[in-house]
Amino acid sequence: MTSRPDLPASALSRREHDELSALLNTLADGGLTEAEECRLREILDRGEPARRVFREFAALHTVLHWDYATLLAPQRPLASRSDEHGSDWWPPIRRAAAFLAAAAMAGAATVAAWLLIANPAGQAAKGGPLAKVTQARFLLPADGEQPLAIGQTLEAGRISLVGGAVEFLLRNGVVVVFEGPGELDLSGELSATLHDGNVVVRMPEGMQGFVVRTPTTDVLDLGTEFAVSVGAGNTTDVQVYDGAVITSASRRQEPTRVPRRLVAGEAARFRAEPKAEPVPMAFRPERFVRELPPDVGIPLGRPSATEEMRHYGPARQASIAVHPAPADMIIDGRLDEWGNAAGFSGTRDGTASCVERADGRMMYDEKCLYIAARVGDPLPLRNIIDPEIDAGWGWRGGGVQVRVSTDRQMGWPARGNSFSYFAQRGIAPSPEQEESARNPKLAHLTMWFHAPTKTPCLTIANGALFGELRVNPAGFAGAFVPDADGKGYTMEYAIPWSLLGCDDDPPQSGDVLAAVWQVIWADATGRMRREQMVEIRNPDEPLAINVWERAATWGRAEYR
Amino acid sequence: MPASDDFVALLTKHQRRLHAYIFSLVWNPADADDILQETNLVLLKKVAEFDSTRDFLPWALAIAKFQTLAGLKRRKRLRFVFDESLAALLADDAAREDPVLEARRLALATCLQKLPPAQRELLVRRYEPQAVVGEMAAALGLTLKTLSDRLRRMRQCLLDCITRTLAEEALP
Repeated sequence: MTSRPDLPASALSRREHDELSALLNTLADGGLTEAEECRLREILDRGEPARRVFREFAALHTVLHWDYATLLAPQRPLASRSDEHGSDWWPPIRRAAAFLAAAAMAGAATVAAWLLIANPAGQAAKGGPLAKVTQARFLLPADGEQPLAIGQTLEAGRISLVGGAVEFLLRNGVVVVFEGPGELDLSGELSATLHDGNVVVRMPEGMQGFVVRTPTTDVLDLGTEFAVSVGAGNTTDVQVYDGAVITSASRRQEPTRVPRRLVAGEAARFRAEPKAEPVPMAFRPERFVRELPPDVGIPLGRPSATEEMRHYGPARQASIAVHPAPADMIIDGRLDEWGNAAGFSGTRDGTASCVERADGRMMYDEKCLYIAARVGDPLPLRNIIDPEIDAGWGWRGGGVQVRVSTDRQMGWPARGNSFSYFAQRGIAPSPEQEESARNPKLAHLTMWFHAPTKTPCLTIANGALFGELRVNPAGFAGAFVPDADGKGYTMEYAIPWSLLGCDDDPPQSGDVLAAVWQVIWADATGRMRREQMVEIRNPDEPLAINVWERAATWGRAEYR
Repeated sequence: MPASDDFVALLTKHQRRLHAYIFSLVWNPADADDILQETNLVLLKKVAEFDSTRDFLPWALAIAKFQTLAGLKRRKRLRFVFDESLAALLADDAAREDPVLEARRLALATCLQKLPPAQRELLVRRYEPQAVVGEMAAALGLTLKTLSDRLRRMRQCLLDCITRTLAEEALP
């Protein structure tokens, strides 16, 4: 079995023994340096006496770990963890011999369950962080704990929640949904310890063998989706949604309970008393949070229908076609080249009689994005907001805002929230979310006609931050033409892809990217916003979120 | 090929030894748990390869050694304290010494009961699941070195007690 010849055995000197002992203690308690590891190997290489010291020390250390509950668990609560768990689950100290006898009786059935376990080849763990937060809802971290953010990676450790739920994807594909209040130790790719709260484990297809440990019960997965709850008095409830599990007494408890197999549609309660038999329970599928919804936006407050209309302008259309433009595009506000390039059509309040209406269209070619609209406006083209002074407020005096994503890698829906979105909701953005907020391929276009100078204006803000605003950048073309009856106007713009940060990879036919429209009507002075309508919006996002603060609210721009 | 009852019984009986062996190579409770679990799966898959006329433990320890090495490589973040040949030697020792180590384990139960309450409580804290020595030192208001020295002395005390107990039991 070994190719290493033993050096001549010789007794260890006192000094060598002490050095070896010190090294082993450091190894056991963490912190052995590489140099010390080398020294340890050197001493162990010296022969059997050194290895005997090692074996005896290792045996002591491992037994104290393995048999903690039987040999060491306190009979009175400890200041730290016993307070968390209650003291009733700790068994009385028993002779090790009694423990062995009981283990021999109870263990066989547990091991029999392993016969069904087979992790297929190819499911081996990969490197990288143990887990990643994939979804979170209504999270309330425990005092002193950092809030978890979507995209955040985690290593093994404890997660404490006062409320809410979080979903983790482990690096081997296992999905864990933890619902607070409670405490969960993510121990490794195949195990977690639930001290309190609810957890649902969902295994990838073909994978088995995950264990959820509770103070009283070990739940071994046999290829399944199952839920475990630890409640008052460390009662453990197990419910199986799919496949089967084997439940057995916690290894750290006296294992007198016979392992049980639970299959899909079954549930049982395991009381803390070591010899208590499990009690069958009604299977209630809705009892546990099994999946968290995707990262939909969080509305602020509960606006009334009127407020919703004024602030968010309920969109009626979720997509707009972006048509190929003809070769002879002339930006003159006449829309002669637009032919049958249909876009969207709607009125501010949804009624046919409403005079505030807009027909919006989009086209593209290899150089530009084209935007055009016929806008019904009883007070047209009066905007006095000066682009040289108040460029950031150009929308106030009436005009059109179109927000687009040209990020072909991201596709639809777009990602990117403004910092105000996070701040107002008390959420700390993850580094990934901060990066999304700075995405230069998210562009906010504000187009208005500056009445005093009769100038078509354009501002472009990138990302979700409204950081640097480009005002009337070189390269764009715009035109406004008033309606003959004075009740509206037509606008037409050509915006080069270079101004939208994507001239190296502009949208192509077949792409589905993100876009949203806002048409704004102002008062007679041309300086105050009066009404607005929002069109082309993602219907999966709550209405009461401003489209400027969350790119996921933008609808589909389908490039034909 | 399904495992026989005898095989299951052997596997059950030797769980502690397998865990102890894995633990003595990785020195991390959570990793040892995971690798033991993986080892059990492999042992059950390889049941057909087991020659029932031979000892179970050396065969199982050899597989545990392989699984430990593989597990450590996969996890990357861990170092393997011992090289492969030394690990193999330790596995041989562990298989050979099994009865002796069982006796020492039983003696430990007696020795633990002789510990003064303060020392016992320190040991309880140290071996509490998920205990971290650094955090424990901070909670007790001790320096890491002071705590480490105390733990070292206490373990030596227990090791000496075990040796004495076994010697006394061996007396006619």
